[in-house]
Amino acid sequence: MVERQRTKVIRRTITALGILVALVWSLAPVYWVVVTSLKIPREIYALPPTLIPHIPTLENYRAVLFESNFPHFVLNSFVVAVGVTVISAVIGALAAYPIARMQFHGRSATARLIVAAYLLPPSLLFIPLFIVLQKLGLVDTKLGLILAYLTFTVPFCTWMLIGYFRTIPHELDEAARMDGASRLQTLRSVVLPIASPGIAVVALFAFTHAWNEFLYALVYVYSNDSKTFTAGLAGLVMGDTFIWGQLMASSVIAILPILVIYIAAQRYIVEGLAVGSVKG
Amino acid sequence: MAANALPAGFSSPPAPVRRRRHKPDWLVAYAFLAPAAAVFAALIAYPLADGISTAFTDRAVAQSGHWVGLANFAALFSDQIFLHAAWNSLLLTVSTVAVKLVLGLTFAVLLSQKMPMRGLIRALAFLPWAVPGMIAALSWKWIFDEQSGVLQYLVLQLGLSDHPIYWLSDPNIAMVSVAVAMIWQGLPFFTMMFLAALASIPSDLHEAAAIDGAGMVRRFFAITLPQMRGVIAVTVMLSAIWTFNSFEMVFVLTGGGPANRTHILPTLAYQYGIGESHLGLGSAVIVSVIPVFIILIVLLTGRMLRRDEA
Repeated sequence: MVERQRTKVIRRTITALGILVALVWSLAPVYWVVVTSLKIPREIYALPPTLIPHIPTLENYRAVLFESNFPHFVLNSFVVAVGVTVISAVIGALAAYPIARMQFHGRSATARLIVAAYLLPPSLLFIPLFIVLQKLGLVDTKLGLILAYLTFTVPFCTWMLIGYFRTIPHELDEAARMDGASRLQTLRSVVLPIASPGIAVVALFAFTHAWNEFLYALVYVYSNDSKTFTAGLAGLVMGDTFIWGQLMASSVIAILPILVIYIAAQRYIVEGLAVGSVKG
Repeated sequence: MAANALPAGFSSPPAPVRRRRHKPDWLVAYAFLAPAAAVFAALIAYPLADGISTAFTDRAVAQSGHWVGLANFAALFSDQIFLHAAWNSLLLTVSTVAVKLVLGLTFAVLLSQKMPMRGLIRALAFLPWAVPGMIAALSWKWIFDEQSGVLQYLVLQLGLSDHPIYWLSDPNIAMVSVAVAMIWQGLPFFTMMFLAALASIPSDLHEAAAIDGAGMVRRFFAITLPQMRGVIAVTVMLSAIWTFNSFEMVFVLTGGGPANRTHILPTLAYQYGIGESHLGLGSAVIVSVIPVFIILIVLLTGRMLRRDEA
């Protein structure tokens, strides 16, 4: 018994230490961003670095919010991300329904194609898509960027929604069909309301993807009118000097919306990951 | 058939009242799929085909090019920068995925233990996943800053080194720095996938083994790992694809420098294709790795669909 008790204590201590290490590892860089954003320039470059700002200041935030283009970039990110989310949720729901529910030739080939498209990495597509956007005259427009993001979010939403739709009992659609509802009516008034939590999760993922994306933003948009915040930050970095205080304040501002989503939907996100292997 | 079978001269009765008021199902199915198909055709399939053919031309951003056959590939395979970038990509992918696998399993086992505030602790441990890649890259660039960075200070102060370390400007060390940042960013995905898998292992398996006297370590290797094989395979393959293609860490941390020694294939494709406007050469960089992706994607597609239908 005593032996048992002792191994239990040892086990708990090791677990606690391990978790402490895991948390420090995960949080330290984020903490450092936040702390740096609250320091005056002299303190940012001071040695030894201070763990807590001696002279806390919101000056960096003021400069970013009122004296730079950054709020405009954030707004562009928002417009693009909302556009992507809405379009891909609609197209995804329409495409997922027949695959989950209907019989037609090429059904399994279509499912296969969707997964393959979802797995196709952006680095394979960014140059050819650039040429396509150029032909369409959509380089350096928000619409062009939205179209580019659809290449990832449409297959992704479709695939996730197939999974969600399959969890809804068939009898419900069949009952609606017996009552004479068309497929579109069934989808709209039976399937979608039941699947709405799943659709919300899928929409959040699509939003997050468009919000965070960098490569397409870097290549396809370059004017202040259409740049998203990731491209905007890259513009600041590629200069010679780094204004770390303002860069870190910008970072905090740009993380906030994602953080709110993440906290609000944390449980679903973990579930969604398990269901659909969402990009990490 | 039925109509043909009617004797000649027998006038067919007026068409019966159609019982099926709906259009045939397959037609509706294709109609529903049409928008997705349009996205696929116009924004994925066509560009991909166009990109592959561009790799055989000397196309530049401002002008359409001429067919040059395999010249771009010949140039690449005698280009030290390309060969180095390919090697870096491979090394970075294999090493970071391996570390993420081991750490992810460890973190998942730790976080699956009973503890107070488990939900909060998990959410905090997953936080790097929620940080946009660009911002993760920026924060690590600041940590690795060679003059004022916190890491330089800590290493010198703790006596781990007696001279400053060039975290990002020594090409050999820079690859390690990039790997560390990528592990930080990618680890939560492994932990989350493994946590979900751990939770789905029936607990009576563990209990039975415990009664038979199997210790914790033994149970992990005899029960937990075999049960998680499928999830581990999918996670590793997904992460391999994403890691191989992650662009912003290298782009922001080193920009491929110094002396093009830290490029990976995506950043090199960007530099050749967009930076130097040589779309043909940039496409060739990408096309040269497409076979690897086709294999990975085919393998993964099969696995993910099987899991999806189970």
